[in-house]
Amino acid sequence: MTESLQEDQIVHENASKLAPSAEPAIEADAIKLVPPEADQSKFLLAHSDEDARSGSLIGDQETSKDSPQPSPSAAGSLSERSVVDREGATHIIDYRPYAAMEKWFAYRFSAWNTPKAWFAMTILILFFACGGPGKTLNLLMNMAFGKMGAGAIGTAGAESAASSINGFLNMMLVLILLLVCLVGVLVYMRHPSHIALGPKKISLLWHRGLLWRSRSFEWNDLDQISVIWPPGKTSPQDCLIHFEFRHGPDLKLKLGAVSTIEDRRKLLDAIHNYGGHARRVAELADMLAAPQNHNYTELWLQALSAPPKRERLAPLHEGALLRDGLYEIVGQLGVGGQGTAYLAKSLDARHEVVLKEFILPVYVDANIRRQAIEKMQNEASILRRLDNDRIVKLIDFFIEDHRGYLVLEKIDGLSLRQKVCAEGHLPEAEVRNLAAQMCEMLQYLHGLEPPVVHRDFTPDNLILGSDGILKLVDFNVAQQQESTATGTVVGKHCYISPEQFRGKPSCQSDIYSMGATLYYLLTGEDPEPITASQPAKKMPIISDELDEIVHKATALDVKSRYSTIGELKTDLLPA
Amino acid sequence: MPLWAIAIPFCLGLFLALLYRQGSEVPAIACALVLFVLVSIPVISLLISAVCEDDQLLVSKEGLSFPLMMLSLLGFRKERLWTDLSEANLYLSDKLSPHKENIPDGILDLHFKSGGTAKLSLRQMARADLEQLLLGLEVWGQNCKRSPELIAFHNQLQNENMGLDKISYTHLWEEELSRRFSATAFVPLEPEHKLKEGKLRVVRQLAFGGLSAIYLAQEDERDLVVIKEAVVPSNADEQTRDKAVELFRREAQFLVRLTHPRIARVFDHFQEEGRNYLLLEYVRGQDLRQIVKQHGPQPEAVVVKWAKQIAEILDYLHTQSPPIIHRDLTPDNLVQREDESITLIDFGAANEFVGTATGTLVGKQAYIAPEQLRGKATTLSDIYAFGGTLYYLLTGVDPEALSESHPKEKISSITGRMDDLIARCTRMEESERPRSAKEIIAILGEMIDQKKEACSTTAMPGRDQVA
Repeated sequence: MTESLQEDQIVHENASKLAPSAEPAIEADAIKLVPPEADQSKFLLAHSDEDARSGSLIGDQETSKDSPQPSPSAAGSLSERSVVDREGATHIIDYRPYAAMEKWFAYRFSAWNTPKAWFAMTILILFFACGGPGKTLNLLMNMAFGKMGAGAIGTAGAESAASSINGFLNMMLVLILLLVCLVGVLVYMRHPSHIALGPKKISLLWHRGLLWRSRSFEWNDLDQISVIWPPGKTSPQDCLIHFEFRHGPDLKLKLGAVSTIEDRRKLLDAIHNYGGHARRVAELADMLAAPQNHNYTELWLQALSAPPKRERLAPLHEGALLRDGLYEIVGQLGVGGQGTAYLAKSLDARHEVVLKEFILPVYVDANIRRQAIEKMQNEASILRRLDNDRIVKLIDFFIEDHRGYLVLEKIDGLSLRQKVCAEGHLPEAEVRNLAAQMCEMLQYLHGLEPPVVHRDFTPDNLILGSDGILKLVDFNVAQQQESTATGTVVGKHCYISPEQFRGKPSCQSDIYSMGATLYYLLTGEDPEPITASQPAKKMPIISDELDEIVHKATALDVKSRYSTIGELKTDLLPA
Repeated sequence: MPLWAIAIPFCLGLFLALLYRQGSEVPAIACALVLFVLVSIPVISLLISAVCEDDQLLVSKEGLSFPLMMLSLLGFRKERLWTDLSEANLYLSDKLSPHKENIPDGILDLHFKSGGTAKLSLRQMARADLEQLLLGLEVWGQNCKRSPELIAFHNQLQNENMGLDKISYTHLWEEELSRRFSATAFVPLEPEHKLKEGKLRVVRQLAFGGLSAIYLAQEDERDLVVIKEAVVPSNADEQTRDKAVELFRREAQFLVRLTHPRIARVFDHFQEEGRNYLLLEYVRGQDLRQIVKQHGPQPEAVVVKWAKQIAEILDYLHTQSPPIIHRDLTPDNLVQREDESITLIDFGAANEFVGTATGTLVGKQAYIAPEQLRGKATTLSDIYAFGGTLYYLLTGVDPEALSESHPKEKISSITGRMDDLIARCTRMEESERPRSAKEIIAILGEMIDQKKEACSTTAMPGRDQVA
C-alpha cells in the first residue's frame, strides 16, 4: 500500500519536475489529448524518467530530452497526431534513404506476370509432390548437427570426421549468411524513419513497428546549413543537406530521402520559419522548392485524364455531394450567361458557400478543353490575388465530372438590382453612400499592379449585405489589362462603355459602368446604352451635383470622362 | 517464357528423384551445395530477370524513374526529377507501329539538364501508358520545352479517345475553335443523343457557349441537318421566359416560311424536355471568315460579286411582310458553297432569344449597329452589318465597332467607290445609310459593269496602271 502511494508521489514529482523543462505545455497536451489513457501515460512518463535517471548515471544528456519510450501497446495505438504533440512538432515527414530502391522494388514486382506465376506454381507443386518438406528438413538437420544418424551407424571414422567437417562448414555458411543479413538490417535501421519538424527543434525519429527512438536538435543551436555533394555524385537526389550546430554533432540529411514534393516543401518551410537565423546556401531553396507553381497541376491532371464521359447530364439537384462529400448542394441560386450558381453547405466547416459551376466542353478538341480550363483558372487566380473585404473571397477551385467549380464565400444580402426591383429607385443619400463604397472597390482593383478591370460592374454584380456593406462578385469577364479582347462581347449592354464595346476596355470602362449603375439606382431604370446619362432629366429632385457626376462618369469620350476613380471620389465626397 | 523457367524445375525434379533413390548416402556438403544452388537459382533468376526485363518507366509527381536497361544513356542515374527535364521531342516515322491501334512508330526524346538523353520508342509502349506519360510531361514537366510535333501528337491521341478521330479539325484554327466552344451553363447534347423520338441523331457538336449550342445531326439516318439550341435559364422569371419563348416561336414561324435558294432553310422548331430547338438545313462549304483567314484579304472584284449576292439575300429578307431583320450578318454566317454561291446560314433569332432571357448582349460587337445596341434594330441595322462584312472581306480584319469604316485607309488599292459604299453603309446615323438593299444592289451592279470595262481597258497595251 505504501509502496503504491510512493510511486504515485514519484509520478507527481516527475510531472512537476518536467513542467519547467523545454516543452512543458506540449507534454501536458499529450496527456490531455488522450484522457482515458491519462493515467497510463503518466505512468509511462514516470517509467521513462526513471530510465532517464538511470541513464544519466552514464552521463547521456540526450535521453532526458527524448520523448518517453511508450509501451508496445501504446506505440501501436499512437496516431500521428500524438506523435506530433509528443515531439512538439508541427509536421512529420518520411525519411527514406532508399526511396529509389524501395520504389523500384515496389513497382517492379507489382505487375502480374503470367509465365512467372506458372513457374512458381510448378515449382511448388513439384516440391510437395516429391516430398520436399521432409527431405529438406532432413537435410537441414544433417547440415546443422552433422550426420547424426550416419555417425551413429558410421562404418569408418574418417567418413564421420569428414561429415562433421562438412557440418561445421555448413553451419559457418549459414552463420555468415545470417550475419550479412543482420548487418544489412542494422544499416537500414540506423537511418531514421521520420523527421519531425517543430518550432523548437528538428528531430529524427526511429519509428518502425515496436521500435521507438528519437534524437532532437535545437533550431536555436543551428549555425549554418550547407549542401554537400558526395564525390562522384551528380544527381541532386544524392546530395546531403548539412545542418551544422554550434554544440553537439551535425545533422546530415540525404535530399533524395525526403521523397515527395510536399515533404520537401514542409522541410523548406520549417528551415525558413524556425531556422531563419542560420546561414544558408542559396542552392538549398532551389533544391527543396517545388518545380513550379504546383497549385493547379493536380487539377489539370484530373481534368485532362478524366474519361470522356459525363456522369451527370442534369443540373445538380438538392443534396448532391461534390468533392467527395465536402460540399452538399442546398439549392440553385441562378443561371447566368456563362454558368450556374448553387448554394452549398460545406460539411467540414459547417458554413454555407456559393458554388459557381461552369460546364466544360468534352467532345471537342483537346486544345479547346485546355482553354476552357485555363479561362476558369484565370478567374480563380484573379480572385485569389484579390484580398479586400469588399470583394467576394475565393475559397476553393476544383473540377469534377467535366464541370469546373469556383467555391466562393456566401454573401447574405440582395443584389442592387433585386433591391431596386423590390423597393423602387433609391434616395440620393443612400446612393451617395453606395457610390462611396463602389469608389473604394474600384480604387482597390485599379490600384493593383497590373490593374484589374472588372468589366461587368453592374447592379447584378453588386451585393448589398444585410450589414450595409456592398460587395463585388463575378469576375468572369474580368481580365488583366494586358490580355487582348475576344471577338464576342458578352455583357449587359446598358452598362458597357463604347471603348469596351470596341474591345479595348480600360479602368475608365469600369468608371462608365459605375456611372450607369448609379443612374440605375437613382432612376430605377436601365440607362440607354452608349449614351451619356443624366438622371436629373428623369428625376428632377436629384441634385445637380450628383447629376453632373453621373454625366461625367458616363461620358462617351474617355477624354471628358473621369480619368481615375480617385477624381470621381473627390467630386463625390468633397473634403 | 525464359529458358530457365523450364530448365530449373527439371533439374530440381531430377535432383530430388536422385535423393529419393539414394537415400542419405550422398555427402551432406554436396547435397547442401546442390540444393543451395538449385534453390537460389530461381531466386537469383527472378532478380536477374527483374533487372534484365526491367522495362518499366515510372511516372510520378516527383519525376521519372527509368528502367535499369537505360542506365547507360542516363549517366547511371535512373531517378530524374521533373525540374531536370529540359526538352522533349518527338520524331515520328511514317510507318504504323505493329499491333498498335493507329499509333505511328516514333521516338520520344527526353533531354535532361544535368546530362543524359532518354530515347523511348513509341512502339514499345501501350497506348494508355503512352498517354499517361505524355500527360505527365504536360502537367508536371512545366519547365520542359515540348516540341510542336509532340503537342500535336498528344492532342491527336486525346481526340481519338474522345471519339473525335473521324472529325478533322485540321481546317480549323485554334483561335477559331476557341471562339466556337466555351463553358456553358447547361449540358450540351452529346454525340449520339436522339431527339424527336429517335428521328434525329446528334452527330457532333459544332459550337456552344453560354446558353446556346449548335449541333450537326442526322435525320432518319440519312440527311445531315443542323440543330440550334437556345436555353432559357431555369431561374428567369416567368414573364421574361414566356416572352423569350414566344419570340423564338414567332421568329421561327417566319423563318420556316422563307424559301430562298441562298438562305439555309429552316425546317422546324420544336421543344423537347424544356429545351428549344431550331432545325436548319446543313450547308456544305466554307464560311467567309475561314476563306479570308486561309487566303488572306480578297480582291475587290471577288468581293463585289459576293456583296451583290449578299445584298440580294438581304433584299429578299427585307421585302418580306413584315420585313425580317437578320440581326447577325457576319462573315461567319455566310458560307460559300461548292458552286461558289454565297448562302446565309444562321439567324440571330437564337442569340436574340438568349439576350431577351438574360438581359445580356451576345454577338460580334464589330457588326452591331448603334441602334441595334440600343435595342431598336431595323432593316438598316443589317445594312450596317453588311458594310462591316465587306470591310472584313477586303481587309481581313474586323471593323472597329461603333464607327464608320473606311477600308481604303488600310488597303490603298481599294477603289474610291467601294470605300464610299462601305462608309455609307456603316454610318452611325441610320438616315445617312443607303435606304434599302435594292439601292446597294444597284450600286454594286454598276460597279461590276465598270469593272468589266476596266478589265477590258487594262487588257489593252500601254495602260497597265489604273488608279
